[in-house]
Amino acid sequence: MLRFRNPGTQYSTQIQVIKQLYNALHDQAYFTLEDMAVVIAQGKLMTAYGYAGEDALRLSNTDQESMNSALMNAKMYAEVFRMLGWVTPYSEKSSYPMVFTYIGIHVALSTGDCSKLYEQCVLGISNPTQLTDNMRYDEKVRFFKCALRTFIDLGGIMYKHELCLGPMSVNDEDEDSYLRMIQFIKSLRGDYQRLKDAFNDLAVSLGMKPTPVDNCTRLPIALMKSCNWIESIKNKSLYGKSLSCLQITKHGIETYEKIKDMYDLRLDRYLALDEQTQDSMIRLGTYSMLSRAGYDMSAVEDLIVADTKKCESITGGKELLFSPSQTIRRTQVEKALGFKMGLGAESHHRLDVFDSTVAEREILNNTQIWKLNIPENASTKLLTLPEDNDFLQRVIQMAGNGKKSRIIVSELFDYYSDATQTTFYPLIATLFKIMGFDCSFSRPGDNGARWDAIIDDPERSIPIEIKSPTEEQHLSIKAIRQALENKIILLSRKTYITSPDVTTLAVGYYMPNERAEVTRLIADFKDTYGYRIGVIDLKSLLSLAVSILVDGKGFDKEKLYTLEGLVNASI
Amino acid sequence: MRVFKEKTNRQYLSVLKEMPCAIEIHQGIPGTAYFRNGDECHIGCLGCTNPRCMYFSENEIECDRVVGFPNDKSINACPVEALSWDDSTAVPVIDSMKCIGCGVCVSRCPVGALFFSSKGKLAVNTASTGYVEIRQADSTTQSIHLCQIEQLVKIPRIGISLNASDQLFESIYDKLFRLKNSYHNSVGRSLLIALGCKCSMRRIGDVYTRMDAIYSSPAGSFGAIEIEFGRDTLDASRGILDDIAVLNTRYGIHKHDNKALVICLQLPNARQGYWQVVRDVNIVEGIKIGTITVGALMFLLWNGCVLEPENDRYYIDYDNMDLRSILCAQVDCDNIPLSDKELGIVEPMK
Repeated sequence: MLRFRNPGTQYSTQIQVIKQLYNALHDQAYFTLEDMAVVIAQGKLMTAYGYAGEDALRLSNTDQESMNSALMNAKMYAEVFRMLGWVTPYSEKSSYPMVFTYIGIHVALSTGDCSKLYEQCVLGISNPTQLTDNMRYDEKVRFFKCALRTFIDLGGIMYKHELCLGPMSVNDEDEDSYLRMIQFIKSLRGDYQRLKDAFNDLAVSLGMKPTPVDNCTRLPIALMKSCNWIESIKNKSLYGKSLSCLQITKHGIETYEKIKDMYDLRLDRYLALDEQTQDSMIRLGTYSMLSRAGYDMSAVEDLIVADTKKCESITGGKELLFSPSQTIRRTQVEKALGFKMGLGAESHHRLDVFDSTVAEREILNNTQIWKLNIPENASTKLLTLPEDNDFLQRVIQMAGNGKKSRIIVSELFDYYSDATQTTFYPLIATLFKIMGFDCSFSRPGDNGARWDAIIDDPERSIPIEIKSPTEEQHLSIKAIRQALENKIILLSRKTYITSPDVTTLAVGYYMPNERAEVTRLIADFKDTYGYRIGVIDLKSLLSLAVSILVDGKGFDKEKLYTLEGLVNASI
Repeated sequence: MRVFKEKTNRQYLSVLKEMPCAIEIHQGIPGTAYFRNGDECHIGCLGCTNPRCMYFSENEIECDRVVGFPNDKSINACPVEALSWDDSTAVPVIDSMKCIGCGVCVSRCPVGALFFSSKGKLAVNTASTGYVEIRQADSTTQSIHLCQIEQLVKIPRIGISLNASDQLFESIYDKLFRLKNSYHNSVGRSLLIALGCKCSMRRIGDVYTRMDAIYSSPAGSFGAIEIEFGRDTLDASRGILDDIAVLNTRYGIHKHDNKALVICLQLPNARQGYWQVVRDVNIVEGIKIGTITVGALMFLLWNGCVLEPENDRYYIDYDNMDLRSILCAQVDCDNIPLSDKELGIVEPMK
């Protein structure tokens, strides 16, 4: 099966990025991923941790290449641009550095709507090519032409996994293979389980998990949507259940009708031609792409006529469907078209000139550590609800069985891993009550109470935003926003007494994944509105509560009222 | 190396023999140009070399107030890509299936050649008149052509390009409800630019830039924008607080200088938490978050208004959820020809 990677798929962004790259790098002999990263960032076409431009470069500048988001972003564009035939390797020995292709230059310099040329580039994608060595697949297919035909032959509608089982896994020049593929997909229809089994079998045969196979459909679907060939629809008739399917558009059908009878030149047949004919095919292929894309080719009309005549015995007089810059190495393309790329200044953009601020970013990640060293007993008088009692009994039983508090925390943490709001909200209230805070929770769905729980204090009440693990495992930025909103609502409506300097809390199962981003947001909120937002995960809360219950040791509770940022408490 | 040109280079260009002194726009007929000698005519599409109906200028999609905002660089004026350019005839081609009838292109056509038919469908007048001369596209003609377009957009325009009605908004909203997410921000941006603002929108896929867009109004007000086509408007008010904080700490825009705006498809229902939260934010922070609907923006545009949030004009909250009176005051009319609660455009549906 063809493995389409999962890079940036937004058409308008792709166009903006190639224009920016060409504008900045066209004087260079070649460009590296570092060149691309710097230009993309300086053009404000990437952001990192909320910053654009050189700040984004500094924030992502780390020696660990795979962690450098600017570099990874550049790599992603390099891959998709190479596939579209806009850039190509500078040398035959390695994938990088790169140069712009002739077609890439036309896209970059396009003054109007270059969607027609974009469409030609998508149609130009075929496999195999001279530019894609060591691929883990060997299908011979012009994928998008085959996909459009498949849509039409399957009644116009397909489910995304049928793309994997169909046009991504077929040799489309072998008519029998193609027809067998169509029959196979038809035989799956009507029973979703049958499709699921076939898809899973495919994943197994590829040595992949189903999710990465599914991910391989993202780019082709995005490209087909960008070309306005397909659109999403809900469909129940294919597999007896409502699925988000894809439907070919009128333009998609018209596009296939236009290309189906063209002479489709693939790599193996190209390689079998003599050099002169190859050169003619390169010119014809390139110029016909531009012509179909609405370019004025009158200046080379004579050349086109001559090449058309030269190739007539092969093409049978048909229009040529062949994208040289996507299929063959640049040296021959440039020779045939009569120019040479790869000349000019040395590559000169370096990421290391941007002093890394990764360490600064990491400082923001620093989490307060709360020590459990103050003798304390559980505030049992607050524990009056059945949920409180259930939790207490569970801990007492575990401790009675000789389990250490650390083990108890660990087992309880696992136990609540799939808790819904109904279980999780009362649990959080119970844990705060054990610590001595008078905490009550809102019933899930009670939209009147904006917060999920509240610590009721005579002067310093604290609203709590809770995310159960079934809502989100890791606390997100959304929870932090809600914690801010809770604080503003409480100060405005005065349903409980508090003051601006008292914290507002967000509690979740795990700490946020994007710690730097969350910590920065908390700092932004403090700077702008003056409120403190504290973030606590379940493991810390369990540690605090179990430590009090089992070991008789608590923490300095004053810290909770002024908590700002992330906190960690462990036994 | 020869780089070919797209077939947009004109052989011929339209040049006006005389400049009109006013242009009147009305639904059902192409724009009427009035001349000093008392003549009037409908000037057909001039086939502008850089068609304003198709493209914004880079200046319009950049807000000077926030240098370095990582905005989407796309300059398409039509928010839903319903306009394309016919190189052979040098006129815009309308995809009526895609067109949502916002009127952005109509407002930008320098001569009113783009207009709404009596049935509310976008149309283009290509008829020739004695006031237009077709000349060989040499550099002199090019320069005259560009200069004339520049003057034309400054000429006073009067009239209402599209007459609002329940039926019209129902057909527009029918399309808006089905509009792909990727177009939502573009709808907001295009309408704001057409209403005289500069507006930069976040690039699709940029998860780090929080706000959907930023704008600066003709009188210099600046603000963050959240665009919400769904039902969860609480997300929008939370988002705005986030946007204000980010613009404060990273770009130095004080929270009280930020005339933040929520653009929603429909006003939230009266019982939704949004209204109270907007009021809470005002009480506690003194920040008046403006709320306006896509339909209201269209109405302002059709009536030749600009979007100007001075004096917190578009601030509505739990105590007053009425956009109708605000729009009436701005358009200077007694009422808006929309039924009470129609689609939640000027007052909540429930």
